[in-house]
Amino acid sequence: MIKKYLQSAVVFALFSFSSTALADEFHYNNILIGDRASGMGGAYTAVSDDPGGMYYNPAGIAYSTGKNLSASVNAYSVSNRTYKGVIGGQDWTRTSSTLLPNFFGIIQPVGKFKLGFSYAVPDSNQEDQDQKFVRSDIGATHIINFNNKNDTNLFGPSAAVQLSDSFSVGATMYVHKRSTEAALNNSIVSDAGGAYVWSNGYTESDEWGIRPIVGAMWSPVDKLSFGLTVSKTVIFKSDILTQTTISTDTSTLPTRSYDSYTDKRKYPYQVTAGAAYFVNPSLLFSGDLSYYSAFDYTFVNRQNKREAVINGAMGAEYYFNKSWAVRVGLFSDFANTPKIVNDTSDQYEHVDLFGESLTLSHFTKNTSLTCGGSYKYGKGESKVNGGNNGIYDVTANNWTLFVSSSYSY
Amino acid sequence: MKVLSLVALVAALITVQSSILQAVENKGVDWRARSSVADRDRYSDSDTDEELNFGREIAARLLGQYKMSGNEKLQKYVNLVGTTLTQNCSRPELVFHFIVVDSSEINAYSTPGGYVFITTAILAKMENEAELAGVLAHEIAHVSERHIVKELSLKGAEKSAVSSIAALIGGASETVGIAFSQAVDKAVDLILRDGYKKEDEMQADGGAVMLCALSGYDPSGLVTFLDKVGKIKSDVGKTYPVYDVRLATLQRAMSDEGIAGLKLALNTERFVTAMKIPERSVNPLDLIRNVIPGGTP
Repeated sequence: MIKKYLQSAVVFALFSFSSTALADEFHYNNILIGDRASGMGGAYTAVSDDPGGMYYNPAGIAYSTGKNLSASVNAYSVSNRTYKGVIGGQDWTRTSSTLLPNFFGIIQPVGKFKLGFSYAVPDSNQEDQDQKFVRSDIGATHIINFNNKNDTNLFGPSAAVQLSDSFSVGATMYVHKRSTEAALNNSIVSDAGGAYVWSNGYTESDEWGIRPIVGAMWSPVDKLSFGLTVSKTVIFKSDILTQTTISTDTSTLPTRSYDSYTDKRKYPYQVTAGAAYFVNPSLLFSGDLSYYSAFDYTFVNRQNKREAVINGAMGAEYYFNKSWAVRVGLFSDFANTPKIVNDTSDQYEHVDLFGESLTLSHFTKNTSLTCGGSYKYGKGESKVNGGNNGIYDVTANNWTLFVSSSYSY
Repeated sequence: MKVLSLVALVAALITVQSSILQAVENKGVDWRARSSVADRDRYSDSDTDEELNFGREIAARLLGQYKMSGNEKLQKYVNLVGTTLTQNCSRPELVFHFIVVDSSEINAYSTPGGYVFITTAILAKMENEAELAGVLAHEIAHVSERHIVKELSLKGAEKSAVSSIAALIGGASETVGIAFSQAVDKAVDLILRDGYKKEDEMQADGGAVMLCALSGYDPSGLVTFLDKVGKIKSDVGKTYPVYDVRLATLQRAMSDEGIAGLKLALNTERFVTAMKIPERSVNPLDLIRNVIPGGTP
């Protein structure tokens, strides 16, 4: 029986740190960024003419109107991920909720250039779970305490210039900072008393890098624009600390490990092409296709393989009148992990997501206020035990509410 | 039959003129601008009030630097010519004031809200009323197009905008006053030192010849005067772009608009007579009170 407890405890010690994720290096569209862009499902590469453009396509800010623009977005994001039947036949659900400053940006013209500075949080989660499962399958009670923080922050300057009436180029140089911290306490106590196993795990990491984004915007004819961006995150410094303590027997000392690493994560090349059709001053359609290259690297003694991904996004914006506008968007968020297969160990979960967004904005002469949200949902598979077999269904969803304001003067 | 032909001709002229005005209006429209953004270029009544306050403050500063001409009849004459032009101005909500100042600078200035200054030196270089109308119309166009307001990004109401900021950050009214005063300083620098953007000058030229033509003045008055001033440009302040480029652009614009060959009134005789009016002393304080309600006494 003890062996079963041990298996369960070890399973959880492993999977919460390695095979699964909420904030989420297995997807690239974790949180939509910006004011207008969020409402349009992130289909913004060929629009980008406001502070959000510094993230989507810096060339677009060359067409920003107004002398000075600033925008800030605050978001409340909730993610749920349910692993079907993973704890003795019971589902295990992880929930993250976080209130975060999603974006801030300001643009100013300097001579022929538009210069700007922005701050974006493309990925963030915070899990604080305290769960208890009655395990009739092994006659025990399983308690899980799990705390997990994972934030990616980008901040840096942008510059753009119009080379002609119909063509502009721009660049953003983001500093990339990612911090993670996770603690998992597991205990399984026999309902009959006397037998128990437990495990404690802790890991933290800090990484610094840069993410240059270069972009171009071309408007061959009135009302139609095309955008193209290329970016890649490169890590310069990475510090990782892991601690694990597992006790399987009251009569023997727990097994312990305390390790540090300097492995650097890798990130893909991202190439995004977009098109936008400005039907009239009240209606706008846009679409983006983003390609993320395949790559692999070793991180904390584990081989990470990421496949190439193509995500799509479509958005529309409609002004009922000069004071009110609505935006809608559809987007995909496909997993970059290989599909789960039997007879292979150390596989990361694979969940493909689809999302939609909707926002409502109110404008005055110089200001706008936007409220809205997005919702993502998807299904996939996971191997939470890290072994060769045992594939579990996974459902995932995320909803994000955000309020943003912008000012032009 | 003749009546019908005349009616048809008038209708055709109106149609052509409407088309021209529409084309001018649509030129340079930013198709990226969304409804909310486009609204920033629309101006409400309160914006106009703020523009008037702003322009009045600038005019007071200018009057602190220039001595108003004491030639009352000359002031009246210039005001008559200017007011005639404003009858066809695109901003009927404004009441324009035309002020002759004693200065050796060959120049003319205007402030938001409709205060137009013209120096005695520039008047001395003119030969007919059409040239005077051309220069005044040029300044009227700067006002109509809100060039200073736009250049300083006041978006119609600096005071309102600053008030909004102050309200957002909990600023005191003193903050608003300081910002307003700084905006006035910038405007004065723009008028007297830095000059308008080249494209604003071109736009004012184009608007001026149209305004002259609509008011019955020969639009070539501005062209001949600019040509004349261009030849003595070393004496002119730097508020004008290179004259040959400017003249070429203006002549092309007149040709495009179909007003290049128009032979309208020059009023040479009346202008010469007006210029010969003997100067009579006038109380400048009264004039200031008359043209700037509530302005500096």
